[in-house]
Amino acid sequence: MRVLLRNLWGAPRKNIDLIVVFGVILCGVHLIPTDSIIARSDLAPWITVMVVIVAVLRANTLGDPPPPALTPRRWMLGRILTRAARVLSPITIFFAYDTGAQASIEMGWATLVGAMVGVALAYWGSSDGATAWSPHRGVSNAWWGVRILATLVAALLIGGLHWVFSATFAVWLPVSLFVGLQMHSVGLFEDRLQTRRQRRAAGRRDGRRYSPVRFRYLLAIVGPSSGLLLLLWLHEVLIGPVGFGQALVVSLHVLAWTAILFPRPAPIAVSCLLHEVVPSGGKDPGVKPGAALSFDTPPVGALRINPVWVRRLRVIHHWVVAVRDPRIEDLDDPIRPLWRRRPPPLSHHVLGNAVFEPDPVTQQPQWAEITVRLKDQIDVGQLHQFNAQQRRMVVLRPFSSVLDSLFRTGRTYRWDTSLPRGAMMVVDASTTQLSLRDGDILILSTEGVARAFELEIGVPVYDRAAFGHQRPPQLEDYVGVG
Amino acid sequence: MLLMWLSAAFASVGEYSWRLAGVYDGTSIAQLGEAESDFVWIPREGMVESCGPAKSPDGLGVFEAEAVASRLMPTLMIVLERNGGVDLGPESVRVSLGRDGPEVMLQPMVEPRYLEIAVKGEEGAERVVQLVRTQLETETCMEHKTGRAWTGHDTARIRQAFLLDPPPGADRSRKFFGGELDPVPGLIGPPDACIRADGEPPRAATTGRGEGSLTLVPTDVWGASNRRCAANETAGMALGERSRWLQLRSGLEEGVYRDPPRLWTALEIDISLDGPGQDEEERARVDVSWNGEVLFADEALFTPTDTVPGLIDVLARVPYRYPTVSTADRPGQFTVLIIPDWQIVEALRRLEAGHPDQAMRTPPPTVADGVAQVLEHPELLYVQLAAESPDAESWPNLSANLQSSFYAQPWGYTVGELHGRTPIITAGTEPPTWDQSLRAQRGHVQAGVLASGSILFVVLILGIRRFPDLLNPLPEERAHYWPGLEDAAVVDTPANMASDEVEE
Repeated sequence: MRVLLRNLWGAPRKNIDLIVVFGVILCGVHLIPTDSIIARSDLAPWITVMVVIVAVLRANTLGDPPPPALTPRRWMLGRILTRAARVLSPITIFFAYDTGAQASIEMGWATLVGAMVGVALAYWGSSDGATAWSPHRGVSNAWWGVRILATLVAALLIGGLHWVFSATFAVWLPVSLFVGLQMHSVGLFEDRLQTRRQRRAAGRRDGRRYSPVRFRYLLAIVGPSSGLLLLLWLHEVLIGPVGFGQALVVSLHVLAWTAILFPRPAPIAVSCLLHEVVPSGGKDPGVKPGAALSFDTPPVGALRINPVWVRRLRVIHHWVVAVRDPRIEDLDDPIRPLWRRRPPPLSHHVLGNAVFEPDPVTQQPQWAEITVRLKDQIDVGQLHQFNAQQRRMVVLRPFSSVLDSLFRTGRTYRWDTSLPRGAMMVVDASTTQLSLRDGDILILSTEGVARAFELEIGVPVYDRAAFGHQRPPQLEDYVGVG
Repeated sequence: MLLMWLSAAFASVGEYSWRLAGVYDGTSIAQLGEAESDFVWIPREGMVESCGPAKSPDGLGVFEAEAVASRLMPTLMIVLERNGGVDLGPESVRVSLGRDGPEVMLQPMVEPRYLEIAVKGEEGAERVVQLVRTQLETETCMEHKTGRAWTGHDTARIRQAFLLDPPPGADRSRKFFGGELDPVPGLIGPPDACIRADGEPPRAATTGRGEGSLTLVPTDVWGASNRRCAANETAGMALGERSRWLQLRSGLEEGVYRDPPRLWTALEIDISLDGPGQDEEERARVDVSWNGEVLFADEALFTPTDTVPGLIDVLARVPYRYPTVSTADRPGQFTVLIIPDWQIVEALRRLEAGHPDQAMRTPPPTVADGVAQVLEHPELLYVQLAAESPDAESWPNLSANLQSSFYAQPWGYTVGELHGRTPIITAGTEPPTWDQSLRAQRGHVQAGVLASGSILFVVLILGIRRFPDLLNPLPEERAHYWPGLEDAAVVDTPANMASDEVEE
């Protein structure tokens, strides 16, 4: 239950693009003319529009990727062409569906043209994502041809079902199957026969034969179809007849299944920035130069740094922090490695290892909080041969979460009110773990001379090539602690 | 499911047998289109022969249907969409204005009737039969001459409704029809009526029929008569001659418009002398049926009044029907209630004066756009459907969506749905464009409101999320010295830069 709640809580953040799309649809759906083909009462054109949006935003392959050891080719134009073919796919299926539903010759021609253009685009752009190893020689054209033909014939038959059931309660069955077929079709792109051959040739780590996972293909058809059928029938029974007025319900359904079938991939790393900051204070009333304050007066002013009252210097440091995927590699992708590969360098920190660790509850990757596992921490006070050095490292969190606000621990001075949990983390010899969030201020002081850095968590990095195989910049490069 | 619930909560779909689909100013919306109106009131030839020429109401110079078609005055158009109910008429839906409830009734325009009248009587009732026939001839001719529906009332109201008397007060101006005691429904096309009297010769015209005057004069009334019905003028038959109505076009499916069938209907009146009493007036009983439907049976033909026994008004009980617009597969899907501006102006003035039952004694001092005022204050409008259950205490108000305090500010979103995309209906030969529909339904405004609401919702959620930050104390850290700030003199602050310039 806790995992479910945490997943629901985190879902909007992960699917902000789909939420924005739904908001735009909510505001604009009534502006669509009633005589427009999109506003047809059987909702098939509207479903097609939604799946096209899905194809542009999120759609990815439903099959397995190439073996991790093989580096795919990246070609920007090819990627655009593949995406164009993916967008064309639901439109062509709609043409085929209408050919069956309306016995229209014109739609039949449109289907043929759409399929040919889609195949040409996909073929032209197939270089993007291609890998080098071809363990079994042979062309995959026939395999692709059968898939395309099967999809179009299925659309035609579903359209025929619509024609049979038109003006009856059962007409929503073919419409529901239609959405499943379209969601399935946009997930077929980048699904290469060569990839399966490579995986089959590589075999599994445990020595067993590789068999492709078919669950996601099945889910892509059955999940959206059954859900939509249930929704539409419930609406017919409980509320009233279904028409374009229920377009919002259909949109929400398709977008929800998009989040399930095509989740946003977790980034490999996140590019962060450390801004050097100084207190933006001073000129405090009541502080007279040269006059000592009484002991019962709390010190104020520039001697204290307030995390929301800082000024950024024009010094910025780049810091790349890896995102750790919690899944076990052997279970996640059980393909035997083709050759030994040097692992990417760890983002090792003198204080410890700084990574975006998975959410402790859901075990899902997250990139909102950096966890620094401290090791061999030198105590705040250090006695040298002839000198005693006082050092201190503190992390200030200006804005705590609601949950942390409920628990009060620690304070700056004894007369201050207690702070929310985690608002001020003092690193000492007993500290083993440090968490950093966007906007946190790291303060490192030695003998009362302090430097402060404001953390800004930036853009996720998805491309392994961009991440590189070199050691990324680390915190210690800038803060000079250790 | 949440969205389904929201959709149902915002909509009135399924609640009643008709739902409100649009409220707008038909004239201003029609002005946005390029098509010109070519509607001209052409009275029925047979009626011109028997009743004399048709005369438009004084002060306006055109019939009300022509005024609506030619966009000469604002027109409140209320579109109702069928949700399984039967056709609507004045007995099943009423439109009114009021502050805390319906106060001043309005009379939307109705379809004309084509009556084949048959008045029969038993032996000895010839005089009564002739009285009833004269009454019907007078009334049907009045409809023909003024293009207004006969709904009956007391003498003063009828004389005013049919423009025989000026409005009360010294001002005799009838500009914009102001100052009538009660609103009168206009007809959207010329009516027709004939008498079925087999074997009887046609009645000779003994008096004039008001041919010489543009305005209505007493001879228009007293010279009225109906012709004998021809062979093709029997109930159920289509009109032999094409009759032009005010055309109504829907934007739902462009190019699809089906005229409602225009058929002759049979009005059969059977008079007997079965009642108690000595005189014919006391004994006369009447059975009236219209198109096979019994309107009333065995009812006393004369009802006692203060002075003399009054003849009951048969024609006023023959139902009218509000105009409908069909789509390709749904006949009569929309009913249009067309209310001319003068009725609304009069009603608003009565509300403002605080006496809804008393007619204003003078016309409005200036040209007033009452339709715009109602659209600005939709809480004044009541569109009430006849209670479908006999136990219901009051008629449900279909315009309640417009009055919802939930919206706080009525932005004119008329249909009460989350997706207000119902098409509109305008008077004219061309169907309204989608742009006209959007403007009538204030679609852009609604999109703006929804977008603003969404942004407000997000801001609200973020505000709630960040609210504890206002209460939480901020952590602070102490230090003796913060390096990083350069010497104040080398920092490019406006003050330093100004001082540098001074030194130079």
